[in-house]
Amino acid sequence: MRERILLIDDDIAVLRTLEIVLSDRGYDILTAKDGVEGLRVFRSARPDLVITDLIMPEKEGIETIVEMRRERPEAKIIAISGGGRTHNIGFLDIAATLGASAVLAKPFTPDQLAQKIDEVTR
Amino acid sequence: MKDPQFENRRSRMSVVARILALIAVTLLLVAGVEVYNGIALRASREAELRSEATQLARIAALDMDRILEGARQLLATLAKLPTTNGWDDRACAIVAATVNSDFEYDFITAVNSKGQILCNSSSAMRTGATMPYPEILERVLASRDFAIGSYGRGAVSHNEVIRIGYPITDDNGEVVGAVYAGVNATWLNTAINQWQLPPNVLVSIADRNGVIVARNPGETWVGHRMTEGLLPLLRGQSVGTIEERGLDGTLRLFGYVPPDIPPARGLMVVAGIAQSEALAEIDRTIWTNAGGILGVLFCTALAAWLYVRRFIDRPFQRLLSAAASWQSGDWKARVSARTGVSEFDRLGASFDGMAEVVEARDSALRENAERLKRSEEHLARAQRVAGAGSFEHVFESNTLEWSDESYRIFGLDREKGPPSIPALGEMILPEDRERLYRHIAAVREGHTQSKLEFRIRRPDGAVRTIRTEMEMVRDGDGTPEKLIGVCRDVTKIRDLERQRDAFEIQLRQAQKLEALGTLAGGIAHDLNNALVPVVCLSDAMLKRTPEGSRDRETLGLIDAGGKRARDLVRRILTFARKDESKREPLNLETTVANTLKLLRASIPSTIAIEERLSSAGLAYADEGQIVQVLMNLVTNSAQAIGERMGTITVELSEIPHSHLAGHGAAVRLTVEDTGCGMDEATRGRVFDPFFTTKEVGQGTGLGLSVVHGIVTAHAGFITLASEVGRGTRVDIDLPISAVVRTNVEGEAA
Repeated sequence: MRERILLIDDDIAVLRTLEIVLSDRGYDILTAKDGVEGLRVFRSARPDLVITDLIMPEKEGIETIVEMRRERPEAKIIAISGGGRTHNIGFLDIAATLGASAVLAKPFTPDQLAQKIDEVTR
Repeated sequence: MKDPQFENRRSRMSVVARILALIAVTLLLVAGVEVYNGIALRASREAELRSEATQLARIAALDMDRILEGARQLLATLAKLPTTNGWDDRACAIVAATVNSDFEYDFITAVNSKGQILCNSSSAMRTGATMPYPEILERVLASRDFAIGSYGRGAVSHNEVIRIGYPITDDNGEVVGAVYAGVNATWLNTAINQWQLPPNVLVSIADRNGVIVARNPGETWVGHRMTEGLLPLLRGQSVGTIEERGLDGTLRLFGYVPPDIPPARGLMVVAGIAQSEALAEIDRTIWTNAGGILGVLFCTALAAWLYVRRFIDRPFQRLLSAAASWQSGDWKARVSARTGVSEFDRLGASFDGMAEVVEARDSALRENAERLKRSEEHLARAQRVAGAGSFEHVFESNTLEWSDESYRIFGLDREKGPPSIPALGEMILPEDRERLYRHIAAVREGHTQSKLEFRIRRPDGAVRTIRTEMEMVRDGDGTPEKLIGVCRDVTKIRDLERQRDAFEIQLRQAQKLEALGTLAGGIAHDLNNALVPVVCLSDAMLKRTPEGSRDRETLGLIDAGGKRARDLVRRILTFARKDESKREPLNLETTVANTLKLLRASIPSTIAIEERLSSAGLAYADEGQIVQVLMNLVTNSAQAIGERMGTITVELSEIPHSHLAGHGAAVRLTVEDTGCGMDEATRGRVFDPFFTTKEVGQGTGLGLSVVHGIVTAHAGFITLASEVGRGTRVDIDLPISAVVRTNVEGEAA
């Protein structure tokens, strides 16, 4: 059975890009535009892996990660981020501390992403 | 205090001593006369004793002569016996009978000139034998008269005797023999002991050899030689006296008659008077007199001393003690003498009158001085409080007069007095000197001048800024008399102003940088997102495009451009980022104290900053970031207090149980204010790092997200408590341990 990945990002271009790249590599892809939607899909579809952006409207990434982790402690989550909108804070670092299995700074190459996925799902 | 009067009194004799000395000299003279009289009396008594002793010896010699006269007559009679029939039995019987009848003689013997015994009182001595002791015969033959021999013992009886002899003559008067007898010493002693002698007198009879024959009192010394000192006198040619120690050890004055000097007749006679006993009475008299004089001397001296003390010394002491009181400033002291000596009473009264006048003057003077002192103290206090010193430059004498505060401001020693005008000029920094001189000249010419500031270099090397205001005082003609003025040390105020200016510039710079960082962060986020499809898809497509095709080249260019843009964003972020961590073990106490010093200048004076800093352990932290945290928190607090009065309390301590993972020990930094506080909704979101209430580029304001980020990056923990209207409290726990997670990877976002 193909592994199912849930992508959460408010940037449609990013969402679509990652969908293309990952489906090319043989994954089933689910997408969500923010944390609220992401969580809904997370609960209903039970994906094998979640890749989520951090800075989003409605429900931001860290909060989303914390809730997912609470619901499924074994969940595999990769946090991706282009950095803070106002300050230069290590958001990814915080995400790693609060429940992300791995983190990756935007922009990245498909190989870098694949390597992270391997690390997390291995 | 040295006073010549007192010095004299010490170094020379006091009146009392002088009077006593006078009395002592007088009495000593009297005593001297008395002692001289005593000595003279004693000398005359001694002369008397000498004559007494000689007289006694003479009398004793005469008496002795009288005693022996009987014996001479007896022997003379017996010597006539042979004239009829020679020494027949009848004559010898008479001799024997004489001895037996008389205790006086131990024996009587008649001998011829050759010493052959003709007749003897004792039958034990044979007629015709030679006499045992020829000495007496020799004497008789030599003197042809009655002779006295020496002490000895009878040849038969062995009794103590002294031999006496008388010549036997024939018809022609030729000496043909001698009759001699042994006079019993015991008898002789009995005879002379019948003399009634004074208790301190002794009489001694000795033979030509100095052997004592008889002695009054007592016979103890009979048979002994006289004391050594008397022996040379045996051949003396005159009667005399000699002072000698007798055989019994008593010192005596001896009167003596030598054996060959009449009235002695062959025996030495001495009469000794015990001098000490004889002179005892006169000595007693002398000592009694001396004691009496000493007693009188003592009593007189005592009386004189008491008199002088009562009537001279005491009045003097009162005068002196009053004078000493006056000297030490106590003009209330009075002599008030009632000495009974009119001169002293008058002197004391006139001194008291003088003291009264001086006292009145002194108390008025003291009152004035007290008032002046109070006024001076008041002025000095006022100047100290105001930090302002005053000065006066009198032109005529060209002298300066300074208040205490002026000395303090210029860092000079009050004791050394004000500096000279040139010395003062030297203290002023050269670049300010000309300006000050021009200012003074203008004031002197009557131009009203406002305040002036100039700098000085104090003796301790410190450069201070002085602010002065001066004014010219003129006499009636308008001629400048003196320059008066005040000065203040405004260095601290100027320093603070400069510090505040510098801090404001710094703050503006920091805010600018932060704005730039914020801007860059915002741009970076969007750019990074925008670059995701470019970098990701070009890379994915590149791998699907055949080598060497035009598409592949095109995609390669897009991919390279995307990656260049990505790197550019990272470089911009690196440039704008201030949290380039330089973490090291840090003493937060110093950092916090220094930061607060800077902040103080930018916080309104209506807000008090209370520091409670105790030495905590070293935190592993970036000093710049901690400074930023504290600045943000304090600035927030100040804004929360606003224009009202309030207090910001900054506390630093080490706590044993923290909010950190593991709840171990930590350094806790607390910032607490009495500001407006926050409602629950705000409170819940302030730490939300993604919660943005501010426009891009807005100042520190509610920069709690920054604080949160820094604290988190330090592996620390931040808690916030707030109540609307009561204030806000922020606690930041930082680990003491050096093991702090460093986040290098992934922070590039």
